[in-house]
Amino acid sequence: MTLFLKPNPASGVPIYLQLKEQIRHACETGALRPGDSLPGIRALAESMVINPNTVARVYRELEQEGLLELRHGVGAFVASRGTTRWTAARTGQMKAAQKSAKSFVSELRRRGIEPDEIRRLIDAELATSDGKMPMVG
Amino acid sequence: MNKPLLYKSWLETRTRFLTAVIVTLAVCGFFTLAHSWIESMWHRDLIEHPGYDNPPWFLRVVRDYPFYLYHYVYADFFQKIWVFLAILLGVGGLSREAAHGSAGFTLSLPVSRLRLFAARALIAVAELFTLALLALVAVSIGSWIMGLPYPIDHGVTHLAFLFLGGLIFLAASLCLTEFVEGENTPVVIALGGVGLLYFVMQPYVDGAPLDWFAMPFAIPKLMAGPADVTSATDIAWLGLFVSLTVAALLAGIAIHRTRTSDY
Amino acid sequence: MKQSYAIETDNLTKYYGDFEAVRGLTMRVPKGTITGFLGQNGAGKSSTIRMLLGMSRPTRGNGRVLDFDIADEKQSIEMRKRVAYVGEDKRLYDYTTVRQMIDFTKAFYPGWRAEIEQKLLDEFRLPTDRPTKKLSKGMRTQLALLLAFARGAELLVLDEPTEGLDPVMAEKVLELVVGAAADGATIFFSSHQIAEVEQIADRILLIDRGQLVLETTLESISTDFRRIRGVYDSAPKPSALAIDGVTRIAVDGRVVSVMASHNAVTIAERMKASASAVEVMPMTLKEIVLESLKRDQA
Repeated sequence: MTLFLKPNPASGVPIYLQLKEQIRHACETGALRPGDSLPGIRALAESMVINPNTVARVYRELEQEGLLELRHGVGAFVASRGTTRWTAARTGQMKAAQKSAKSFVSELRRRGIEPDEIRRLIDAELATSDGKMPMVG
Repeated sequence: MNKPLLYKSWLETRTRFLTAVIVTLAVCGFFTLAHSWIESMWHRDLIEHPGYDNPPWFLRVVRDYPFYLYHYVYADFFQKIWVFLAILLGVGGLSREAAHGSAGFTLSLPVSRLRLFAARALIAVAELFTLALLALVAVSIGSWIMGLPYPIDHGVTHLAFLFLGGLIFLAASLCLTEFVEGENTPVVIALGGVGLLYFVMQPYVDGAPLDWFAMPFAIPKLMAGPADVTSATDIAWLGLFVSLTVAALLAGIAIHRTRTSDY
Repeated sequence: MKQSYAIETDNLTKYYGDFEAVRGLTMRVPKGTITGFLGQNGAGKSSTIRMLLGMSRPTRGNGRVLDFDIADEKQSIEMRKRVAYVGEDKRLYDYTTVRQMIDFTKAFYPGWRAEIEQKLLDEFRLPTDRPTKKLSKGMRTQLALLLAFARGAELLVLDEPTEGLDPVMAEKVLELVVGAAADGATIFFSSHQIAEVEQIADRILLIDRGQLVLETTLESISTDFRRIRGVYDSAPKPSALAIDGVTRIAVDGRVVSVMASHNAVTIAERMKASASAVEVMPMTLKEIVLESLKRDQA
């Protein structure tokens, strides 16, 4: 399978987030299009060598987010209309976020904060804010 | 009985058993086929050295073929080799597997330790029995080739003594290998014990009257049996009973040991 | 409730003479999970596993595997029909060929998976007519794994399954583990490789000197575990850090470092009351394991 890369357990980013991000990314880039089927839980778990429970959880969460559609006994599919809406909205969001991140970082750099320190500040903030692990490697 | 376990025990002892077959055939074949050569040697000895003080069995060995077989095969050379073979066939078990590293695999199988032991004991007994049959065949065919009349019941009786008496050594070996760790240590210990036994007991086998203190160790004499078996009264029934009981007791100790050990 | 655990032990204890290999171990392995069993050499992992499989008898305490009592021989045999085990020592019978070894093992398991047998023979390129004695160490491990995975077991107990294998083969083994888990099997495996545990496990049990020191899920590690560091002007009273979730405290001069198993936000808030520069950092499994094994516990 070349669609998804094997996750890197040492990156500090939980495997389920890495997989989730990869599926989102595949949808955003068009590697996966509405109606496309995703590998079965077993096949994906075996090819990525990760826990099948993790794959199941990612599929479930992406279904809740509207990106995937789980058809019982058939498998997981990229949601037909949900996706385009999702991607469009998401792309806009990401662009805006990138902009604010850019101005935020350059502001801190102007104040003489080193890149490593910025990273640590963001990590610490993320770790306390919503209980989820930061995506910054 | 569990067939795969019997198969395992057979594969495990196969090389040893085949070696034992070759040794048995070679020894029994030698003493029958070489009879005339040995006999002529003793004759020459009698003529050349008339003044020698010969042991009591000597004259009869020269004249009496069944007695010759009794002396060389059942009471002496072959008996000692037989005991060695019985010990060799009894080697095995979980302690040995633990020393080798395969005990974990065996113990993960859904079988009781009693069954593991039973399979190994059954195969060993069957192999020892087969060896006794092959010895009988070898002695009979060898005698026939050499044109020496040999009553089959003489052979059957003495090999039955060897087989039944041999069970005690087999049981001792089954037992010892459950107690002594290591792949070869138990064999060395067993052979040391047997060597000592024969060093002490050989004079009694050769005809010396049995001292009271030697009674419990009279297995070599029991296995040899009397030179002539003409009726059931010539058979040491009590001795056979006692030795079989001891063999069963040793097997019982081995079973207890293997069932309660940690591996 | 009981049915949902593949393995549960209660105060399991094993003495070898005076040596306490396992000291009052109480743990659970829920069905359907891949549970990593971590600990240093001599921590009691193999002793525990041997007791679970009925190879040695507990000195005290008890345990159940697939709801069968481990100390009862009859129940243990029933349990072993449903469990596959690969030991630390992967030696097999020297007097058989690969084929004979497979046929022998197969005879004990009605649910033998012939397709897995064939798949692994091909993938491992095991020569079936070769005597097992003449297999390399890696091949012997592969054969031992084949004999375990083809049993179609409900529970796989693997003691260091990837030890001695090259990275490609080790990954192959993890793939098998994942495949067995996808088939619904529960996996309980010990390992020294934290990275591989992190890769496939969903639960972690960590033991040290025969006792359980950490029992958690991988998910909880990413969402709950945090290292919180604060700089204090004067050392805080221990009572000031007696907060729910604080599992380890290390003081180095003015810096106090705390490992939180949960409740990190509250802990950080409380520390901010008297410390300057409070930092909250995520922790990797490796950090948590090393931290949990530190002997100078506060």
